Amino acid sequence: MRTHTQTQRGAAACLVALVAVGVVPLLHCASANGTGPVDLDAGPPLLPEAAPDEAGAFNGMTAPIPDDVECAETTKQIYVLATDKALYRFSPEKVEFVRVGQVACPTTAGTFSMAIDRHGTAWVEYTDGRLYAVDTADATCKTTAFRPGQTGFENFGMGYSLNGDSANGETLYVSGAGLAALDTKTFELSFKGSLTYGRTELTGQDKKLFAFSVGSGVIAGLNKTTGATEIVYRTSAVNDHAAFAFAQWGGDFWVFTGDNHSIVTQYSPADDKSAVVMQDTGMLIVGAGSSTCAPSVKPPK
Amino acid sequence: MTALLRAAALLATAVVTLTLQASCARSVTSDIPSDPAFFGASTKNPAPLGVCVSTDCPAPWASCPGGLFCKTDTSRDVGNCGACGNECPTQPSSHHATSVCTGGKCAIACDELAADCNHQDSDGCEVLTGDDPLHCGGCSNVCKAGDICWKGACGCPTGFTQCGNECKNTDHDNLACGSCDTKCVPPKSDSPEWLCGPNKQPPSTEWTCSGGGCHISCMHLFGDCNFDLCADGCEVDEHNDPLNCGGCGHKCDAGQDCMDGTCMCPPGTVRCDNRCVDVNVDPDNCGACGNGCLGAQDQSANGSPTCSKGRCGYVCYAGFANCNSRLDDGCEANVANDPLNCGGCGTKCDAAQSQPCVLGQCLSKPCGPAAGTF
Repeated sequence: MRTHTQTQRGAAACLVALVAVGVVPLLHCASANGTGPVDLDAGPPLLPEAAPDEAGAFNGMTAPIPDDVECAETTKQIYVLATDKALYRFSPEKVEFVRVGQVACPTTAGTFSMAIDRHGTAWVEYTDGRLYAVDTADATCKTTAFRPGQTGFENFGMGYSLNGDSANGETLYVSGAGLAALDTKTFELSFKGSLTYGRTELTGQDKKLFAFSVGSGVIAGLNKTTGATEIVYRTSAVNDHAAFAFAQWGGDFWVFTGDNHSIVTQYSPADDKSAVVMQDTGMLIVGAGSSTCAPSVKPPK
Repeated sequence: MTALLRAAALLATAVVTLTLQASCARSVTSDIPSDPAFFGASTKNPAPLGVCVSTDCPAPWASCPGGLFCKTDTSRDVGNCGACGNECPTQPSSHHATSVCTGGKCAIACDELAADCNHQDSDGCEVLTGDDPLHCGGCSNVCKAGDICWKGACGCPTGFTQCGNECKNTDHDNLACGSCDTKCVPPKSDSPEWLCGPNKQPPSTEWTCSGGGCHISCMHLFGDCNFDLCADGCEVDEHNDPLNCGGCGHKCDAGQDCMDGTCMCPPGTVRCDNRCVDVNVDPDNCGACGNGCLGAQDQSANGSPTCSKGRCGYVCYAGFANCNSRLDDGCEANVANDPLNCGGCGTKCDAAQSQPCVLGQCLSKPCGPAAGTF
């Protein structure tokens, strides 16, 4: 949505201006998506330039992730990120992982948390507080303008939630020193309010937002405007020291916890039951996300 | 008349060009927020025809002491919240809170399991909600009679047992096995739990709590793969056996090693020291194990070494640029607010007039006595 909508808006503005003047050089919007040739006369480039590589050449790494398709099939699964920096697609129906690839973000820091948008971009935070955009199709990575440490949000959980129905878009929320919304256009945080529970990961279910706290095993339904807890579910996934991740799929919550290798717990709010569905994933999962395209009710078998 | 028409045409063209630049800038990906308020910069001329230098910072930006040239965002800066010098009060630890500046106003963010129930900033978040049954997880959440408040929620989760003021999983807890006060220790010698005879503990086994009972079981990453526990105990060390890696019968693929119960390495990766890495993309092992890419990578570097197709590079984080082409100081220029590199390396704002750089654009306004800042 980010690239698609903005490009459309920019193109529309150019078209209006073109009609108004009658003669307008097309080059002004030719590089609007950052992938086309850059016109030096169109003003300073807004994207940062890469420094020279070892050969002394400049190699820009600024192309946006090209995916104009909203809610492609691959955005309807859960994605997880492990400490080996590999991205996996998790099928809740089959209870199995498929490796997508190693995330190649330009940092030696470790991965911390992740959220998935409706266009298949995984927003990944690293332990150094940087935020990257990763293509869930092939795990390729882009830097972002996010400034680490804003308003005390050094490291945080992340999750998307719809703003209303799907036509109204979605918002990325983060949980750190409270709840905040993160604008992925300006990369500024907007503080919403305090959170009751600490060490949380977020996930959306349609327009609802939930936080999972590994220390208590609580899943809290949040007021998106204030951060206040509106409903509490209790899971058996309690572990004070575990790495953890959390995502919604099919109306249930899927919790990944572990000290060495993660286990997968399915929590069903409908019957208030927790069940360990995989005892050993063979990896330590630190981030999980499902987009708001993922089903929010159990699909028919 | 001709000159007038020509000037008018030039002015119209300039306005349209600027409008286009603003609209096109919005369609570029989102690394620096573009705002039609801040157009006017050009690599050739910071103030095009009909546009003059402005030094009036547009809200919420301000030139506060220590952050000149419109570098302070008063909507978020706790030291200059709403206006220069308006510092949000530091919260003592007894307040269980942190000051934040949001929308130009000071506010407090409560620590976890603390709440501001009286809505008085003077005492911060005065109620601790972690174990208070009258304020459990929130100001007005009262637990049912007899329920404890454990970690901010009333009662215990399913599968847990209330043990005093705590909840314990008595199915698996070695210190509360089956009941709150039962430790999992080797039983008396006449207990039937000694599967292989009184006081006979097979090799590589231990007593652990499972299913609410204390049983002999294999130690972590040891397996009884021949199902003859009493003869040889848990005879397989699953730490490094490629035929039983992490579990009985779990074979590693050809060429893989078993390390700490995990087959290494997955396809597409190689082992460098004890890590599986993709040498095509790993900046620490680029092209080959141990080949670390050069360049600053601490927080202040605003950039990082990269590895792509096994070849080293260096990338600046969005909003920053490496204008001096040195790698040891990373991407030293903040092109969002650097008047010497405004929006890109070498794009200078008008230093003689102290023209600020805001959001990657030299600050400008229409010329003329009545014109205000855009």
